[in-house]
Amino acid sequence: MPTREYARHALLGIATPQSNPVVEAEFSVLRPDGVGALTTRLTGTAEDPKTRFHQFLENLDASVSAFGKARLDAFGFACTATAYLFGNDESDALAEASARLGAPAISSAMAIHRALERLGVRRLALFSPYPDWLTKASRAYWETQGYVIVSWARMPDDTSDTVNIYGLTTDGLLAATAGLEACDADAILITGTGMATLPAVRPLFDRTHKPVLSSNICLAWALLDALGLASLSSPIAPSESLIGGWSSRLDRL
Amino acid sequence: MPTREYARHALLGIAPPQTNPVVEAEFSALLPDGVGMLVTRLTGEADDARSRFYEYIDNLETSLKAYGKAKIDAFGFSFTATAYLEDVNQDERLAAMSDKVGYPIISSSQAIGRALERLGVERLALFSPYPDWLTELSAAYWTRKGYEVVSVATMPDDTSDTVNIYGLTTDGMLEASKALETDRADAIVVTGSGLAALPAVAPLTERTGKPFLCSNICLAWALLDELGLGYLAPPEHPGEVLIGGWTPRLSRL
Repeated sequence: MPTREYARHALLGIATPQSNPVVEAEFSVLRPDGVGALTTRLTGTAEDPKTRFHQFLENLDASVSAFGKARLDAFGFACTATAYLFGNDESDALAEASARLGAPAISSAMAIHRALERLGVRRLALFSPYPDWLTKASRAYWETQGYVIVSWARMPDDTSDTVNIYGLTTDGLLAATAGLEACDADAILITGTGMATLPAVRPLFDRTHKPVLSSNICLAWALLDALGLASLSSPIAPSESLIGGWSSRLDRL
Repeated sequence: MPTREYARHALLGIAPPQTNPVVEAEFSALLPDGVGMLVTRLTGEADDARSRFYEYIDNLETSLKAYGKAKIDAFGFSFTATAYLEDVNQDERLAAMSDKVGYPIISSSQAIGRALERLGVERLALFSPYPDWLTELSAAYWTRKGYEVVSVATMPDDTSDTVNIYGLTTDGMLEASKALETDRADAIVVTGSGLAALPAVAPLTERTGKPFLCSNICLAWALLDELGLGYLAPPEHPGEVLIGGWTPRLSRL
């Protein structure tokens, strides 16, 4: 490990969609002491979200090169939709990023999959902040991966331009999840890295008594897990799954 | 203000140099509750440090475009050395860029200048992590600005490639700063956003009895001050100058 004053356990690289204001906030509380993060942005100029998502992959090499000579221990691609829409392209782009950085590269969807496997989850209640077409793609993706979607719900807001997701609030999320039937589910999965979800985890857990997972929770945990560091942040509160200690830090956000 | 779950007081844009692992760590401790940060990186391909500094500002518009549609309240150009190169005309270029993008832009050197003025400092003891040529430019810059540089000290390490600054440690800095004559100084200024300086603040203040300012402390404070939010983070003990509350958060880094 190189000499450095901070990030004594690990230094993560995180790539967030360009307009997304949630990933950096949630990672700042999810990371345990001594684990640092450097951020780069996924960029695309297209107005159409689907095209923009693909540009995030096309431009990934430029996003990664913006880390200069920084020595990262692992790289997190904090966007979920790319896997739902362009699974093979995402795998290829992540493999290239990993080779360039000399570090493992994990996407949000890969992280969710790893988390579901670790918890032995087969039956999902899926909550989505996306517009219909992307919600459908997300359901199809998880079904193809072998999971049963026992219930699903989405935000009622207009998210036809997916950047509107960034303005959604926890109160709205909690109201919209009332439509989710979680009794038959092994876990609740909130997909998408751009909706603020951490403040909703405890109320949702209290209501359903099911593990509540989100894209950012899964990615933060999966990066630590890949580095053998998950023990740095074991769950503390009953509502914390896989990664813990962050609930008491939410007032920083 | 747009609807958002996090960053209820302000959302800052912060741009560290591409390889710099210190800015994001120190800002994560310095910023008060409810003030968020989105990061974009300053990029350059040149192997020669000086040429790379020019690229950081030549490429600034690309760095800012990486925010997509994110609505930030103020932007911090978290790099000090470009200002020391006279032919960059940094202040004019940042002002023009601010007009173009519609939010205030403050550089590290502007933030240090603002801090020195606020504290009524006239005589500086300057500590520099830079190679000699850049230390000289730095001392000349502050002299041109009307300050008396009463003492200069540098790190003994090889920083001819300035990315080596990122591997310097607080212990090394505390040792090297013993060469600094601080009796006649009104304040100690540690220049450079890439030197981990926060853990050195308390020991240096205790040793010298003088206020300690570094690039990142000044920039975090100046951005809050610009937005009228300085009151969110008042200094809480003599080791904290201008911005406070961050000392207990150092254990997170």
